[in-house]
Amino acid sequence: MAVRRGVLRRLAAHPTGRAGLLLTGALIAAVLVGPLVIEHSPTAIDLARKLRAPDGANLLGTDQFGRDQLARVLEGGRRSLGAAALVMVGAMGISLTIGVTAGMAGRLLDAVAMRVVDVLLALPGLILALAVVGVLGPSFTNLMLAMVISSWAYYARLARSYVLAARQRGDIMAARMAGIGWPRIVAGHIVPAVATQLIVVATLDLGGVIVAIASLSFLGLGVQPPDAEWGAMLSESRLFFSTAPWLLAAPATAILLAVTAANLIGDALRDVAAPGREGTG
Amino acid sequence: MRGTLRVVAARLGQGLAAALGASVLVWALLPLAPGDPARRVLQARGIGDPQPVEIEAARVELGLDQPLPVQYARWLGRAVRGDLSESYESGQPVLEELRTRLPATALLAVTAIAIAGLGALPAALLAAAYRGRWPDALLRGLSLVGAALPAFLVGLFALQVVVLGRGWGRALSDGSPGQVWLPALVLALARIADWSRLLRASLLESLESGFILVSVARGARRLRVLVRHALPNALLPFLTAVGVGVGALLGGTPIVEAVFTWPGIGSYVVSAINARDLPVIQGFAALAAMAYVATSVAVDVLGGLLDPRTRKAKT
Amino acid sequence: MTAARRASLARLIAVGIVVTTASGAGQRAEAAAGPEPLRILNSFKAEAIDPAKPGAHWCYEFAYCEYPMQAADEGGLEPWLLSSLDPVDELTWRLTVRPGITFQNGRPVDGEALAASLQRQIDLFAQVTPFLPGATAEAAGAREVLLRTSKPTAIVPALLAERSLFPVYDVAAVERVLAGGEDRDLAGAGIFTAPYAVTELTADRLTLERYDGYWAGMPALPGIEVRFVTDPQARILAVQNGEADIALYPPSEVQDTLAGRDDIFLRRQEVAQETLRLAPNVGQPPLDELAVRRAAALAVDYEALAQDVMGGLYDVAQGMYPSDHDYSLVTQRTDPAEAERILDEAGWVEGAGGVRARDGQPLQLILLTYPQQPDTATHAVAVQDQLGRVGFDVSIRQVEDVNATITEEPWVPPPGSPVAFGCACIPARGVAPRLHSLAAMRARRALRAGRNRTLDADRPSGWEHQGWDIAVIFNGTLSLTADLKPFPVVVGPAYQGYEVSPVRRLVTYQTAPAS
Repeated sequence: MAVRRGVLRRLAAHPTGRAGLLLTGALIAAVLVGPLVIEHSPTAIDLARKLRAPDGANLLGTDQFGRDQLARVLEGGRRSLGAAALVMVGAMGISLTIGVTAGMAGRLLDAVAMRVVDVLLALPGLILALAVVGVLGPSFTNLMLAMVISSWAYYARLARSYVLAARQRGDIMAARMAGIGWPRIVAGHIVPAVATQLIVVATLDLGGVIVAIASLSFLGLGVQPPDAEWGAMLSESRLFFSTAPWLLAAPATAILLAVTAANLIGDALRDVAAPGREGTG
Repeated sequence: MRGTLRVVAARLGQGLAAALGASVLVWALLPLAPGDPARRVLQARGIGDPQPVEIEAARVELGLDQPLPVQYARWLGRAVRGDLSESYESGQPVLEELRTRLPATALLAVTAIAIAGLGALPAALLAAAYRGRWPDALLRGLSLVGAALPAFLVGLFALQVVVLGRGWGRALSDGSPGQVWLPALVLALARIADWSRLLRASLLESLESGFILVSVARGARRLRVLVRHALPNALLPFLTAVGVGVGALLGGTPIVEAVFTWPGIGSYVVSAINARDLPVIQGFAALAAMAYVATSVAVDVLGGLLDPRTRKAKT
Repeated sequence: MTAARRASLARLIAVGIVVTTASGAGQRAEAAAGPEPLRILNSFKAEAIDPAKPGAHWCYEFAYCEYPMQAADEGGLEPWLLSSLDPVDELTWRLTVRPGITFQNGRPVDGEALAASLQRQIDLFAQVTPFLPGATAEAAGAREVLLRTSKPTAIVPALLAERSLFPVYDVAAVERVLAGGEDRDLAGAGIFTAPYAVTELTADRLTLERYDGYWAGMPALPGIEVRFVTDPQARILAVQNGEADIALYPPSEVQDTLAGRDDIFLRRQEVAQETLRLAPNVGQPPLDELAVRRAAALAVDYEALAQDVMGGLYDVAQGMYPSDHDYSLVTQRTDPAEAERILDEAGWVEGAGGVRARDGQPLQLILLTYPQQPDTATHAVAVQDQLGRVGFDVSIRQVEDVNATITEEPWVPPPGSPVAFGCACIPARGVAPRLHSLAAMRARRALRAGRNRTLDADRPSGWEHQGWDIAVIFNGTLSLTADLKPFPVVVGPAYQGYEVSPVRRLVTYQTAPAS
């Protein structure tokens, strides 16, 4: 906990980090608070007001069904950012489990686990995600599942190396010598330390996850109509480029902002808490 | 040389293992797949309304009545002999369909890698040479934007602004070299952003770690110094990162292919996914794994050849 | 300048002159040749050339095969490759071939050739069998064929015009090619009689060339190229960019982007031949209740669906058929107030969130859509909204295979027996063979479904919730007509004046760009 707070503080001190945190904060606030403030629903049809340019009633205009674009962008934000967080949590959970098991258990288990990880790592992530969605069928849940499956291997490998490094730490060895059992050490010391390091690494990839979700939804392999999602909204509005450009501008800007925020934080993190260097808080 | 061969052989073995692993994963997910392949095959054959008897017969014919491990073993047996079974949609052999589309994807990928490399190199050199001044800041800003732009978004805008707006390029590609430049450029953009930043960092590091006098602050001189001394040392760690980036680039090809209607494997797989054509997806997963490993082997070998240390060792 | 440099400069200039003249000459030659080949973008692949295989029926739309009879644009059936078709007795028909017709490979079409063509389709093509089981076709003269059916079949004229069943082709040539090769080798074998001949069929495109010896006249175009492009937006962009002339199956939102453009135009049929239907699952609650069905039918705003949702691309559905067909009745109207009254009377009381409930059961519906027909999704969203206003709680579910879903899960045809399907659909005026045959196929399905469901002693266990209530189906089972869809195409400037055939014969030998 102390480690995490230290990292956050250092991030806030770093200029890029500060910018990233502010932008992220603004986005999350908009996505969570927005639906409470805006009276339009993202799926309510109003054919009398279709394809209106941004005006007083619809701040970002309406689409071919008369649905309010601002509401849809915010709803899409909730979906994309929520999905990205879920994917990260899922991937880290699995990789932490496998990584800790591989690092702490015997050589056989370690070897087997790492073989599996190597095989999964040999596939470009998006290709694996495509294959998984292909089998399970296009849906938002399957999209998230596919992304978890295609990303956990990378973190598992890292987790294992962090575990191996942690085992050599002075305080761990002291605890062992004092007679404290491995389970308590693992649960109390190793897992939290490794988890923190993993979170730092995962945050670096957050932008990529958001892009991947939008890309797969753009191809029609994620969210299904009438649910709102940035990539899907862009895909549905392609023909309106010259006649209703606001339909494309809003989700495009949203994606840019979200990914830039994630990248800014990632850049700052790289400077502030380089992976491999243990956070000492 | 023998060492390199051994490494290559080990990596190719790894490629086969990866292909095997990918296929196991895809098959393991099959019980979760919705829909009935037997019915789909019958519909593709024109029997729009099959009787339960016909569905049963098709199921037996396709071997779908066997338990899953047996089906997998059968598929594997055919796969190692080069037979990736037939597409549900078209009835054509999957390997044939993938093979006819491979050149287009290869052209796109190779061109994109070349563009990314050729774009990243001068950008990184300039940024390192004029470090702290406006070219460096410009590069930093551009690569931040470039990394944040998803390829499908850039492609979408490129289609509207470049193809429809200015009349360059085609909305419907036919896979020929004359039309590859725009999709390849779109595909390469994110890599240029990444690689130029990486190479810049690598260059600066090798500058500082070396014995080169950097008190000569004039830009042009510094550039020559960079190219002649820093670049060779910086290339190796850079190429390692390139190897990883190639994976991301390959992963991005289906999206760019779909946006530009580029007749490669990626767009084919996307439509196979929409058509729920499982044999194509199974074959694609295995082939993509092998192709990716082969590419990273090639990149590693290239890196080894270019490594000034191994070159010096040979002379 | 050195001598060497001067020489190479001279060479460069010479080459430049030659290249410019050559391209200029090429362009001049091109300009003299007449219209360019027609470039069409389709979303479906032609899968086979051999008419006995499924997926070969595109030859109807793109004028590379012809039929003994033909549905005329104005309605009705007329002899086409035949000069006459006469019933002899209740099991026999006499077909007389028009003189002067040859296959594209030069062989004349006589009685023998026609008989062989009919017989091969009867024997090998699965879709023929339900209509003409055990039929025989025999040559009975130089240009005559006798078609004998196993039972009285009044619809033989329509069958001979139906787009997938009996294209006329050179059986000897087909068998010769297939003996040593496969289906795609039939390209270039000239097996049909049509104005355009297949020269190549690949996974990406179908290439057709003019047949100079066409019996009805010289075809206007040097050739046709049909490209298969699955992305509907890409098809439109290509026409916009001048890379194609006609794009089929445009996405419905294209209607909203057309105002004031001069690079793409929307052309549609005068009269809709196809429909988008709402098929209720009457085998389970709540739609097993008449009141609920009536309320749902009154709550749908048909006019909004056609005008607002589809931007005027569709025609308003007032009944089962287009209203200008003389046998069509107005059976559908929109009256949400009446719908609410009916629901109130049936005991469905409005509750929390505007959703009606009765005895604690909310009035919930599941609306099915399928991705192969994107308009189902658009309609579903609108219908969900419209039904919601009278108190239904509608959720939308997308399924991969709507036919599978509605036939696997028990489906009860409306009371009145399956036989009603068969009769009610044969139009008094032979409007379009397609509509008729579609009805016949639905009749078959209903018959089978009926046999399984109502005549068998053992019913499926209970009528538990089968997971769907309304399926939005294109060209599907008889039910509520949500919308009438005149087949639309998007064309480029050269084909602005293109008329979409009411019977979907997209290309004829006279199709040409506006000059």
